[in-house]
Amino acid sequence: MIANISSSGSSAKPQADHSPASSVDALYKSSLRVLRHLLRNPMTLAGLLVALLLVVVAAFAPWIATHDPVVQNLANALQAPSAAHWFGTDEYGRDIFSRLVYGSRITLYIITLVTVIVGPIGLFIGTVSGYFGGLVDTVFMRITDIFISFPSLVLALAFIAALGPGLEHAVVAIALTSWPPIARLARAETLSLRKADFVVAVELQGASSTRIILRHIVPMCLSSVIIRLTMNMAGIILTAAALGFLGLGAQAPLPEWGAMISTGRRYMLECWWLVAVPGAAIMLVSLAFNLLGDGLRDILDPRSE
Amino acid sequence: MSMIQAQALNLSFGVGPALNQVLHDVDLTVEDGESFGLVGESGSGKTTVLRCLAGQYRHWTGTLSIAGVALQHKPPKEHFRKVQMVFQDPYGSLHPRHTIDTALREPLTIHAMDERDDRINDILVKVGLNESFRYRYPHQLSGGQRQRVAIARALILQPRVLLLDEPTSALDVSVQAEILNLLADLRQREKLTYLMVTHDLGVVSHLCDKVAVMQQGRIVERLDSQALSQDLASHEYTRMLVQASRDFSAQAASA
Amino acid sequence: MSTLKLNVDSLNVRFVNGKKVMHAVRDVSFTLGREKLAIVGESGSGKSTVGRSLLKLHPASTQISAKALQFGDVDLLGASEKAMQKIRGQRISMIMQDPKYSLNPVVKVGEQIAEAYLAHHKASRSEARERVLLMLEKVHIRDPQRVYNLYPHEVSGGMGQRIMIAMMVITNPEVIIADEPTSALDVSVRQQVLNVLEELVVEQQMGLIFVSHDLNLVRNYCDRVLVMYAGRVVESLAACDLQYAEHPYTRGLLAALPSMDNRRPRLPVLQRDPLWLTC
Repeated sequence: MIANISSSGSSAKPQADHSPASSVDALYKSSLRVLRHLLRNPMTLAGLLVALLLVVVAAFAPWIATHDPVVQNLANALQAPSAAHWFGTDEYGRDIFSRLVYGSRITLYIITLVTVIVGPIGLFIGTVSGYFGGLVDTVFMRITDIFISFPSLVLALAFIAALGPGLEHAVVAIALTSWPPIARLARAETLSLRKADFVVAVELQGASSTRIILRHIVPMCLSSVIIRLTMNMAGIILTAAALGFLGLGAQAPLPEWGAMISTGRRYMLECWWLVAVPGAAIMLVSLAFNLLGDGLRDILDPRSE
Repeated sequence: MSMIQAQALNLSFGVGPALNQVLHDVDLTVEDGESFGLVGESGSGKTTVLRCLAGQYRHWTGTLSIAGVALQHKPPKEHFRKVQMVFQDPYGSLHPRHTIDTALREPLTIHAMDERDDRINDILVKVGLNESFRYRYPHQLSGGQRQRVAIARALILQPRVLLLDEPTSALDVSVQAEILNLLADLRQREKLTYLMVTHDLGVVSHLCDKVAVMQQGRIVERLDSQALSQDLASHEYTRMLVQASRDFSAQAASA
Repeated sequence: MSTLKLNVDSLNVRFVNGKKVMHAVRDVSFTLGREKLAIVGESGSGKSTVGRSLLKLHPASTQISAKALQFGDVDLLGASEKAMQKIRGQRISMIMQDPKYSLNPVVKVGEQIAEAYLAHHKASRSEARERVLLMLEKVHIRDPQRVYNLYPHEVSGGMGQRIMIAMMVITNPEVIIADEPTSALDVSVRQQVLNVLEELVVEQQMGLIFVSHDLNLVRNYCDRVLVMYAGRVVESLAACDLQYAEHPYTRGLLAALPSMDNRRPRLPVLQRDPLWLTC
């Protein structure tokens, strides 16, 4: 028993001088606590703000963009950044700033969709494997091993080759390569949780396996999974950009950031803004999600409770 | 008809060269309303007996019965309304992300019981807490309060038998006294049968009528708890336990 | 030269966590000679903190202040980290609760004890090994050669704790701080470990600080007892006088213990008086 330094006496009144009045109230109060911690760390705050900026820009793109992102204006091609075009124009005369703004929608679309697919699948496979063990575990884990053994970009390319290029197919391909680490993570957590007293207690009440996994095990895995997903987002953005760069993701004239870099390559040496601007955007957003994930880990880590 | 009965209970873990027999021919009878203690040191198998009766370990051999009904290896839901368990570690037996209300509501939902709010409020009062605790999280409660919640959770299904696994050994002395008093009160009021595992002879003398001493998976002696202090134990191991516990305990002229 | 080993006067320890300051130890004073002193309390009383403060084992942000924190000729309060490193393990040793966690699981136990010796004495490996074997015999381990080569998970709790004692005593310290050394052990094994500790303390005329929550244990084992509550020492008396304790907290604790020989229908419950927080 490690010395438990609590406030004054051992059965002293609990630190909560507030008694939540309902379960909604309790959830609200603990969410506030998380938010307060989040705001205290400057790096995490920066990450959060950039992530929010991405969402806002994507949501209000038509109002923020100064020009139409797809209409061509060849007379205006390859203009340097100026008052009229804040980030210059590309080889077809399209305003890069506006393309960047609309491109944020695509980036957001990709990371949201991938996360929404990968999270539940990974959680399901991981918790079911970990909880039941035996044959189920073996089968699921060997499947996971097969997926993990391929480098993610190579696997994504293989899927695209089979499905054909396109934004939706890129999303599916990326999702199919991102779920294994989540499953592994969830399984590892489940293995240690399975023997915990609070899980045994509910087993001894006659709870079904479904109830135990959904209501007892998944909530405990959620922290690690959320952190992992947040940090994965950086990788997803980069993979999507790579696919776009290779021409296999979003197809022209969609203003996907990776595709913008790819087509801008040709004029890179004279017109740095074609490549630097979308490149900087990708870097900024990846970094932001990494910082956010780090900050979340500090807050959500159950061990620190 | 006895409330708890075990006959020729055997249990082993592992296979082949790693085979480890944890229980050897354990015979146990606890009458209705009795408070029975199982004492022993670590490795004696006392907690294992409890977990077999609770329905957690399923690969035992022999016969087990609760309230006259034979216990199956895969117990049906009704079994869990007859027998409930209180765990040793108050910090580990409550789900950290569930409020107290959720923890108490869950068994009611599993067994489709009605009047849930009333039952929850009633049981909280019975264990010495009150309604204001309903929406707190375990980490906002002290050790003693958490153990009260664990007891409430066990009792909310209205079992006949309560299995207690060292319920106070992780608590401070002052809190232990409160919980022991609570357990004694509840047993009288709710007409429960207790089977308690502990290594502390003081606790077992206080709360239990009868005692069985276990060593390495076997019951070596059965006696009344009063006989312990009167030096009426016959088995060498029991005498050793009593002596060791006395070396540290109060001299005759204590409080 | 007096036999006084430790002089602690008005020790205060504050833990700092961001903006929160927790006053864990308040104005604790005591002396230690060639004797066994018990510091008894419940969780949160600050008893372990006192022990660890003597060795300055707390994070750098912790505020430790005292009118005096004297160990022989060394002022512990002002001592630098380098000076403390010379003291820890050599002049003041600490024995912790659970050998499962305090011994390195991937190193043989004999090597760990040898390492403790070599950290403070210049000697060859074979010399160190000889000393370790001698020490293992001293703690009544019957087959020292065999045990030397075992890993921590291969030894039982009682033996592990004796190994821990060997490790901490091999350098002939002047003071031992034992933090709940028998709480994780079975009752039958406790006496053996306590006997071993006592033999060494008496033979080498060490001072022993025994931190525990078990009043009954210390009243027969130690010479003097300090009772702590909420960071303060509420009572200080000879162990044999414990039944004449005056402070209501001590009396309450003693009364609340269930006893085989003194059966009562209800255990008297400790009534906490807020006045105890201000003495």
